[in-house]
Amino acid sequence: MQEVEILLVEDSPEDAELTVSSLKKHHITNKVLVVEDGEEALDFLFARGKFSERVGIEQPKVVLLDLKLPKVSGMEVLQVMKSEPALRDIPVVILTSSQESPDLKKAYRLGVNSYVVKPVDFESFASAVSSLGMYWLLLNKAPPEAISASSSRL
Amino acid sequence: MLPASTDLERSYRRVRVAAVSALAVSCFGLLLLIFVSYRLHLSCKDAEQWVVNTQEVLQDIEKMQVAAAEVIVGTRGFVIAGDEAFLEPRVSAARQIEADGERLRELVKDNPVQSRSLLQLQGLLDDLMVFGNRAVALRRENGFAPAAALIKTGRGLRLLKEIRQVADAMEAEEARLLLIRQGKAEELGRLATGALLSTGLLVILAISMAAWVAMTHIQERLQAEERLEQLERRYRAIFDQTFEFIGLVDSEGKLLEANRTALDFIGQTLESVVGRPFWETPWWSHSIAEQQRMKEALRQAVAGELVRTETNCLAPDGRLIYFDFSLKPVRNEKGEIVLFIPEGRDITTRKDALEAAQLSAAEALARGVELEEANKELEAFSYSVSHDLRTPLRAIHGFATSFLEDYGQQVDEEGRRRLGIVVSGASRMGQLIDDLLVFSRLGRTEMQMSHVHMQALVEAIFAELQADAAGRCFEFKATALPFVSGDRAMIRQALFNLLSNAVKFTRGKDPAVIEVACQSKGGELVFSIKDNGAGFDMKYANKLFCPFQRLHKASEYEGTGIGLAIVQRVIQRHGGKVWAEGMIGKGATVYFTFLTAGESSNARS
Repeated sequence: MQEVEILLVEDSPEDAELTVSSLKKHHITNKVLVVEDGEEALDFLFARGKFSERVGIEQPKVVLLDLKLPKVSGMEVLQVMKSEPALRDIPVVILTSSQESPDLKKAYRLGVNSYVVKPVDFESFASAVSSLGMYWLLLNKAPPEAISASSSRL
Repeated sequence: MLPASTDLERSYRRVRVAAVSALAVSCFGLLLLIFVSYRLHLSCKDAEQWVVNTQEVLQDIEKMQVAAAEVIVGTRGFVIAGDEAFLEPRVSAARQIEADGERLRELVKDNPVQSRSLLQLQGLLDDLMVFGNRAVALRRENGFAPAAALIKTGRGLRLLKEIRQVADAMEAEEARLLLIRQGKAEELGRLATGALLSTGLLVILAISMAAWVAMTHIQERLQAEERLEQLERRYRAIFDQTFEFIGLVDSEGKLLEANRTALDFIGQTLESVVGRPFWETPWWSHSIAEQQRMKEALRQAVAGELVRTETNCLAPDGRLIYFDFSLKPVRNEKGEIVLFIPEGRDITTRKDALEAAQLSAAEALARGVELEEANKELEAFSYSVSHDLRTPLRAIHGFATSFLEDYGQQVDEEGRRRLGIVVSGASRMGQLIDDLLVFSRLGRTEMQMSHVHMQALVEAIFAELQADAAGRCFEFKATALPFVSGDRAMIRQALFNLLSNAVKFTRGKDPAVIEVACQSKGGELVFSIKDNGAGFDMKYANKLFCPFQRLHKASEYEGTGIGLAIVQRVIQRHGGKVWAEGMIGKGATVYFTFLTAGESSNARS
């Protein structure tokens, strides 16, 4: 199983497809896993449920997280991740459709690494997504011990 | 304490002193009278006694003379006749003389002159008796002649004469004494009369004085009573006429007094309520709770507290009247509680107003809560709308765009044009959603007040807009714009919309002239943003600030029609007005007002 480098938590398949194609278009070919709700995202990160066979594989380099999600909301996923030592160091980028979110402050308080409003305009959207990909996958240097620590634990 | 009572007291004291003095003088006078009368009586009795005494003395002297004469006569008779029968009176006379002498000695023993005279008299009588006895003895033993010779010596007659002389002297002395004694008694009588008269006068004087003082006092008292009555009338008037309910309660909690206002309220007379325990009076009969309250109030007042509470009474028309009630203990000079003063002020109006105010405050609060809830709902709604509307839009825009990119060459020009319309439509709708959300957010977010420097803000915004409109020529003037007090982000939004409109509608003008100015007018700052752009028809001036109202074709000037509505909302929330003047082709001027910095802090829509 190829390592998942980007975990995209997005309930809208169109948005997911646009995101993935935007990354591709900008030649970011890292493996993207799309999960459709918060529960699945946490299952993946904790290697449980349908991801229980996922052992010894490194955690994603970045989690792109929508806020408005079925079952477990993006904010709850963020809260769990940032309060869990093994997951705390994984960069989380909130990608939301709405500028109206009341949770911007809360997201930062919980330790979100980035907060981006998805533009309607596709060009802007594509450039935003690819910038994020570029930044978090190529430019940003993740704390290596955190990743290894978490992988040894899981 | 009333000022009249001190006068009255002084008067009382005077009367008391006068009465006691008069009584003392009268008593003394009466005692004197009794004493004098008694003495007089004694004196009279004494005088009488003396008169009796004198008479007795005179009588006894007379008797002794007679007895003496009888001795002589008896002796002569016996001498002449030799008959023993003549000696009979002589024996009884001798006994008489003996007894009288004895009594007389008693009667005159206090008078040395008379005593001496009596001794002399008795001596003479003894001599007479001896002479008689000798004559009797001679006649018996020697016969008639020697005895007659003895008689003829005349010694008996001489003795009798001497006896008469002494008796006369004694009688004269007694008469003199009687005279003296009568004089003394008369003098005493005069003295007594004088004493009686003067004492009587003294008593009359004392009583008159007392009467005079009493009269004066009565007059003063009458005047004082008059004054008191007047005072009483005045206080009664105040007591009865006041709007407050006032009463008096005795130390046992029974009603003594209630003023007219309080009595009229229950429609009863004082007589019908006086003497009842205060908590059982008709004012509290409508509610056991109020009766209990009054009982408790009295209990506290008995303990010396000034009780203040709120209570209510039922008016005859059925309304509940609320009172600010107090119960005040009143102490005497010894510090004992002797009275309570219950007082009640009608606070129904005040209370109603307060309740109304509280009610309206509560309503306002409730409305506020409702409003807040509505706001929260609206926020949630906006969030959903922006999220859920934008997601499909992004899909439309995104897939149409990527279709054009990836498959654009497989459709003809018309196909690409039509897809282009889809893309721009989605794009405009996105903008519209964003603008609408801004507009709705402006109406509900709380304002963060601060001092905003309009000059700096306008310059910064224009610089930003100018950068986006590269290649155009502007003549921009903004001078001496003041500070205003307001929400910086909102004001920025409004100014941005106004300036971007100016920039937008001057497209094609060379140079585009934009002027921002400010004037102070009647406590307001009137800002104006003037351009030389497309202008508008004043006919539609009132439509300019309505959301979605556009006076230009979309093909000429892009826009959602929300910009000026946002401006209006911002200005209104700061307590100002906004309006516009313009002419087609000649440019437009938008005016808006701000309260001057000091006053605008109160402005909240």
